[in-house]
Amino acid sequence: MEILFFVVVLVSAVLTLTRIPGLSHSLNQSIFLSGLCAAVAFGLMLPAVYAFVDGLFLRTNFTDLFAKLALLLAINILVCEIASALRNPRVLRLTAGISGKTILVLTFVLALILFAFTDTPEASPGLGAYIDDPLVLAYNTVIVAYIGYLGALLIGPLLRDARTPPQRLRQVASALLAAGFGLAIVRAVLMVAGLAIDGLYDFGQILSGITALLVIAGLVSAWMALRKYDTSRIRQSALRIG
Amino acid sequence: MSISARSFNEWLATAGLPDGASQLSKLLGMKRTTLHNQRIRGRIAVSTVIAAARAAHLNPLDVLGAFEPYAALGQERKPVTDAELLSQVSYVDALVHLMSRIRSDFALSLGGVPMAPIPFDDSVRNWLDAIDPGGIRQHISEHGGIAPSNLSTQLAENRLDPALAILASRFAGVSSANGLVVAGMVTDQEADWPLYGRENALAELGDVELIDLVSDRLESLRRQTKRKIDAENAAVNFLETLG
Repeated sequence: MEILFFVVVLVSAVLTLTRIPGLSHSLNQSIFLSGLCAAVAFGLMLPAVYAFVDGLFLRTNFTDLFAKLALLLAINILVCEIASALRNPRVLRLTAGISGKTILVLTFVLALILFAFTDTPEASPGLGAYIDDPLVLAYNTVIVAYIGYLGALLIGPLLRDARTPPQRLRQVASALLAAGFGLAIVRAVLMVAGLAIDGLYDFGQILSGITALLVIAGLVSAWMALRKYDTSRIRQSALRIG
Repeated sequence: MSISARSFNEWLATAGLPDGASQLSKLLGMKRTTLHNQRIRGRIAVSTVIAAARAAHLNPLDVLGAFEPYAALGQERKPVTDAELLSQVSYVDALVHLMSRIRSDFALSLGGVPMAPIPFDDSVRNWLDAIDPGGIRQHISEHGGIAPSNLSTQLAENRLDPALAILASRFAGVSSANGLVVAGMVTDQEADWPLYGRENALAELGDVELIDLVSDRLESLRRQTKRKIDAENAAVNFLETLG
């Protein structure tokens, strides 16, 4: 799992770096920010980094709260961008609109309250060592359920887009994003429904890592597609036939 | 509807074509594996039979008519109607003709412009609309065993299964071969369409009828172009936002 998270950090960082050239033209700012937050979130989950950062705080495992905030921000920004890319006003309203922001804030506040009541004396990334504690489980479930909620909003529009020709690489991008968000839903359902299964937490963490890699692969495909399909060429007169 | 491989093999022998997959596929200009798979499955695609007929210098419609599902094609073919000919006039052809009719200098400079080859965008839909005595789509769905949405998909892709094309022709009382022409499976010459039939049908149109035809074609062009531009804008937005 540690290796998987390390790979996620690495590819998130590389993806983020590819977006730097566009920043000066006000392009890709949100994707850059999302990638940065994702790299920070998964980076903080690496045991060595986690232990170091957690040593800076008085409250043990305070780092996990930062990691989860970074993760929520990363995914919220990304989902807003995807909704905007797909021109889906419903998803935009439920993520970037007032209702969407309210849900995000409520999720984090709820996670904060649950975290405040947990008793975790030893540093443990994701509070994995205390997952049998109902409060810790509820704290993790809130975050995972929110990500599942975002996945549920996006999966339909993404699957529709993945079936829309003609740019094949763009379809691949949508399909990979749909697969990633589909896994996020599976993870949320497993977490909510399979509360008592041993080893489910570790399996869920692996699913999170794969989800992140699929979403990043989708964004890489979109990045490649933009370069492959010159948008100025796409924009030439639709009437031209020869 | 495909043709049984056994009947096809028997016909190959009578037509003097090679039986071996390699030689035959080379002659038909198709992949050896495609031909091999069709034979293994025991069902030969209509397009393969047409290619084989052409390779044997035979009329594809006569050859298809020798096989059971397409017997209607071998029977006496009715002449193509003016409505069908006009349905195979593209918007460019109609506009060129209108401009030529308006000004003689346009007629001079546009006189050499050849008509769009069949099939062109929407040639199948135009044909189906032209021969429709009322309820043709419903008839095809009910008797051809195809859901209306799948029929719409075929029309949007400018194709129509040969069996459905024959069904539509029978319902409308036109020649069974014409559906195969407008879908691009056989040529208008192979279906005995008159030389310059489309040009003559256009020339015989009155001014108002010609304007109506141009208007219909432009309306259809507008619909298609709008759909295309919307899809392109969506693609550009997707790529520029996430790429």
